[in-house]
Amino acid sequence: MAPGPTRMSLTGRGAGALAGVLAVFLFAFYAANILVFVVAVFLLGLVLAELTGFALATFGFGPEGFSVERVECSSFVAVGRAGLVSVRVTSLLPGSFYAELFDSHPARLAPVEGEPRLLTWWAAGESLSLAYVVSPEMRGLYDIGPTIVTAHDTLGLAFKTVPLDSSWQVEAISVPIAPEIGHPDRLPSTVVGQTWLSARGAGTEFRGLRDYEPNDELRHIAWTRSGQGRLYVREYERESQQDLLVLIDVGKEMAIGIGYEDALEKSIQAATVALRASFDEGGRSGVVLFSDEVIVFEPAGRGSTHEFRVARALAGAQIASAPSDLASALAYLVPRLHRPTSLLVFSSLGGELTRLPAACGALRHEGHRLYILIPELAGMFPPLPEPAQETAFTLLTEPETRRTARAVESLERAGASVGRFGREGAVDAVNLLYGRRRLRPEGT
Amino acid sequence: MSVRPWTLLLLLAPFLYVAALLLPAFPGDEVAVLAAFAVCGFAAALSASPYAPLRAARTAVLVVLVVVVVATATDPRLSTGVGDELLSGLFLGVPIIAAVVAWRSEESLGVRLTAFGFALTWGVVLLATREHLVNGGSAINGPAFTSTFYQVNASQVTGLIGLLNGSGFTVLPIHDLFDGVYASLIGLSVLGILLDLVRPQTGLERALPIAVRPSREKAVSRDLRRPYGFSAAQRAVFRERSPSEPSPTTWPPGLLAVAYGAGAASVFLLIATVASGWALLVGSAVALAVAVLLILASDRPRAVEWLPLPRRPRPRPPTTSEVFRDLFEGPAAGESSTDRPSPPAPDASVPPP
Repeated sequence: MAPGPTRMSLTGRGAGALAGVLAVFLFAFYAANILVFVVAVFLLGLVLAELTGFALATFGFGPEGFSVERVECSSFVAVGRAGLVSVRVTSLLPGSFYAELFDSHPARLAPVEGEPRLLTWWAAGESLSLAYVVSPEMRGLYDIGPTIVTAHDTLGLAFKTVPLDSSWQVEAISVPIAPEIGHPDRLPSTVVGQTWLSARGAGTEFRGLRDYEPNDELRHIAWTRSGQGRLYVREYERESQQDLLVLIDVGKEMAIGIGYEDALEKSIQAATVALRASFDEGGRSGVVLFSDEVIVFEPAGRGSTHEFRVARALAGAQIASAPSDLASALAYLVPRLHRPTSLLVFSSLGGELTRLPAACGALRHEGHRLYILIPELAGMFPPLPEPAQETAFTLLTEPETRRTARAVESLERAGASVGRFGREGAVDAVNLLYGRRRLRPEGT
Repeated sequence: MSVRPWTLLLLLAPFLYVAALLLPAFPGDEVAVLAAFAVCGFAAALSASPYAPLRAARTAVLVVLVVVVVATATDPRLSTGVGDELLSGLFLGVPIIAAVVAWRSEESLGVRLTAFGFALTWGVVLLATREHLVNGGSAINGPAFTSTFYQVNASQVTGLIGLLNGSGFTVLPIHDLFDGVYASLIGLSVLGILLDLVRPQTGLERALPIAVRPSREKAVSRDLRRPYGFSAAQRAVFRERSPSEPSPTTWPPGLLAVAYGAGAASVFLLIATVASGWALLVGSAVALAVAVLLILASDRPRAVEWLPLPRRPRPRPPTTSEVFRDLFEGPAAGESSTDRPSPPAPDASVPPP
């Protein structure tokens, strides 16, 4: 059933005006004096005329009384950058009135220019446009709308309000990995450029021999194969050309932390850095989101379209209600990885641990490498003010800490590299692990 | 220039007129009348003060005055006349205080209108008391004034009860009173009320754009301050967004309602002239019924509470219990542990255009 016209609501001021007028009438009835009566009737006539006039001017006020459309809105916005949100509303009502338009938007989608609100006179049949620039504070999918129209009478005695369906979604993508939408160039980031991550020619896996060229390093000359005036150099396949698959645990245990400073958010920040570095080097990378099962699997690949898909997958990651199960995720991947792959895992290691060493072993057996970063339970929270509170916290978290320690031990025995991170994030840990992956030959 | 001092003057005028009419009539040796009236004036001045501590002292002053009046009226060691004199001064000062309350913008509209109606009626009663004394040939002094004041009100109540009982139209001392000067000044005080109240605003008292702006506004560029990498179409959409505009009519906003109110008052006067007595009461009852029907037909004032006007949510630090719940239990099924934005739509794998 279609919603009908919206009823008029009295404001506090309007209710007060009516109550005040009724009080004057009571005094008039007591005095039974013509002067008091005339004043009371005048005030009542004023209030009733205002309310009746407003009711007539906004007759038919409801969702059907307006047409609404979004115009040239941005769909994808990099975190910290700007997108345009606009809405055009046309009044189909016969009368004119003062109106307030407000385009609902999440608090974390802060308007930086223009206004999502307008208070103006709205003539019959006229279109009003709101346009404002927003800048998302963090990654994610932001719902915009509804657009709320509130009609006010001139004296502030009554109002009518209706939410208009004008839903729109803005997808905020983390900055280091955000590609320019529809543009082939990559965004500059803190890890692009003259960092060790983008250094060239530091491969470790032997690929073949080729003729020596000037500027080749002497240590790469294959002296045993060279001779008769011809020098060969060993060519190595750079490890960064190997696939990188980032696994992010979105199980409920990853909610540890305060507010948005939780383990999942820290993991995504670090994953973004790792993926950005890999893409910048021309590597093939992908992403897996999992809890008790794999939720998103974006296989390793390259190219701007693929980067965009990875970015969207990261942008939409959110805590699931299910616990995490890393072993299931690893088992899921074993038959699906057809190239040697480095798996960078961010996980709380929640759930069943007995199958984890076997799953690691299977991956190692296929030639993949496993790097795991786990959020440190105590490190995800700020220090408590009182020593007694700190002690209580330690006591409460001790079983979980012990369980995690056992899991780490079994993983390390299975050949995985394990690191930890706290409130400061995992970017440094990623840099460290990433460097180890590039520099350490397989089997050493 | 602010209209507030003028509105105060207009609101006080009829009640100062009543005081000016009555105070000189009291004997010169009854200084307590003047003193009590002066204290009321002082309390009214405190009420009108823009300084909050002074406004707060108003109540204390009035309480002290009432205590003194009651003490002097009940203490047998004092002359009985002093209590009546103080009470007379208090009676004369009450409408002044009520008029100031009606003027105060801090009070709600309902309180202000009620205070104005109270002051108006009290003034009429004072004038009726004076008329009763003058017509009876009595001298105006403290004891006579207070006793006549009580007598006038008692007669009015008795008359009204008689009307309600259906025992006929008896004497209504306040009903018969009409003072042309007072009526004119009341008209001016209503104008004062209108000057203050009838201005374009929302229910939350935010000013609506009006046709005549009190000051020239600075021109603001409608273009983006920065390009942001937007397309030409997006820049055009931003540039063409709607501004806040007043009503284009030459009729001042809100004046139409005033005109209708004046028309209703004129019609009422006409009816009262043609058919007095019961017709007056029946007409008023009909007007009241319309008001009550209007209240019932519209939503309740509580609608203001759910008015979905945007409010900036302040981030609330999690409580210790929430931290531990997140830590050990995680979010319950179907809810998120934080107000994290929603995940992408199912078509998240669609490549960019």
